[in-house]
Amino acid sequence: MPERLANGLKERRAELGLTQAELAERVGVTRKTVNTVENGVYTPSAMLAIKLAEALSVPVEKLFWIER
Amino acid sequence: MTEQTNSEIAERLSQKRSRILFVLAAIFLSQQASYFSGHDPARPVDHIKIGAWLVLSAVLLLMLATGGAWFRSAEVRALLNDETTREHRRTGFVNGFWAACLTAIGVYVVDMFEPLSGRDAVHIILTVAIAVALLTFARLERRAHRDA
Repeated sequence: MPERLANGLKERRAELGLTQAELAERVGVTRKTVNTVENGVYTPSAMLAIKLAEALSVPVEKLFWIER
Repeated sequence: MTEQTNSEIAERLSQKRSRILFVLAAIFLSQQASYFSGHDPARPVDHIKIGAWLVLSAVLLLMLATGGAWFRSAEVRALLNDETTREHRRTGFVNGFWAACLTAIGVYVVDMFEPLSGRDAVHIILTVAIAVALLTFARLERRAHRDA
């Protein structure tokens, strides 16, 4: 089975009561990018993954993990 | 009226861009129908047609290469060219490259049976490459906006 990068972005964002647009603004990307990462359509770069983790105050390895 | 943030402006422009790209692709492709419906390089009207095609090709290529929104602030342009957009554009260019190669092979084969002028061959290859790159980019952008 192929490996994929799963994430808990939606859940963590909901915990903090943030909208996709608000998170996008914090990270400096468009809502479209947050949406595609959340839905697993797009695998973010290490840079974006770390920025997202920082914006959501969670370690990057807790936000993203490899699903086998 | 409340002032929009750069993110909101970029979001709106990004959605608009994905819609406009489909329209531009349709205009670009429909232009080809009139070109191939018969042209005489000696007629001035055909020079205008070919000129219009060249200008539109250059604008579309520039738009694909830079993301457009040339008269917006640097911040808005940076947001409009964020990570996913760059990835979509890269995929568009890759698909456009393959389309150009396959079309060139097709033109080469056709030329064995029905000779084509160099100008016609360039016209066909360039049109297919730009249209495929444009449509790929527009489709990926549209999909990314959906369900957001």
